[in-house]
Amino acid sequence: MIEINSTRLGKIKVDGDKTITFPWGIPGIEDTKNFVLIHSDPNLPFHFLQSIDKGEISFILTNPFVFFPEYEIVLSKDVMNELNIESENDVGVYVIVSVMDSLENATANLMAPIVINLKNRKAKQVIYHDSKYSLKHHLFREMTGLSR
Amino acid sequence: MLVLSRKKGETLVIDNNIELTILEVDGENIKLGINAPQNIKIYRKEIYEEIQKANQEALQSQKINNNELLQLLKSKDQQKKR
Repeated sequence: MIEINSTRLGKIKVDGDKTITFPWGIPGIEDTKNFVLIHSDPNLPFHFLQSIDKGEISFILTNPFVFFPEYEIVLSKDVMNELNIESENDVGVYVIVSVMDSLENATANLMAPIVINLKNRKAKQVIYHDSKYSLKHHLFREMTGLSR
Repeated sequence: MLVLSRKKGETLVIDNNIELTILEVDGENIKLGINAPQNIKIYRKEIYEEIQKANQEALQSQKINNNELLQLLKSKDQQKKR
């Protein structure tokens, strides 16, 4: 077990086998490569991507398909190779949530989802720069369509 | 910064394995073709910087208040049913 002193979650113990590795880092914090995904409340569609080495680094993630049912991304061959993805069934897709002033105005980054190969636990933030998605889609403001 | 002039159709080679070709020049727009090994990540700089900034912002996110969140989710569900 690994103990993490998380700023957001307090002292937590996680199974070392559950480590998710970002071999290329995450833009903005390129040097931080090892994380765990914590689902602190099974009733809520949010997870925490907590750095193992740096307690102060944790992202709020959500399942994009809960809030944006029509969300769609295509995994390129490059990404499949980089993460050694054998089957799309092994893939977990999450998006980073930003809660700045209030929860109601929370946004999700649909342009750059976190793609995880759940089998080998390799992950990457994949940038869809030519997509219709932006860095900030409101989670709650609009209930139909892709709100911006 | 190294500055080189190239014409349309001409190529630059970087480190033996990255090739930049000028495909098209149209006023202020230049279309570049890039051949590079898979491990070389190529992004438009402004996009990469935006993602960096967005990630750093997201790290400053407030704690999620579960009660507030549940209420929002409930109201979302109700609006869906309408």
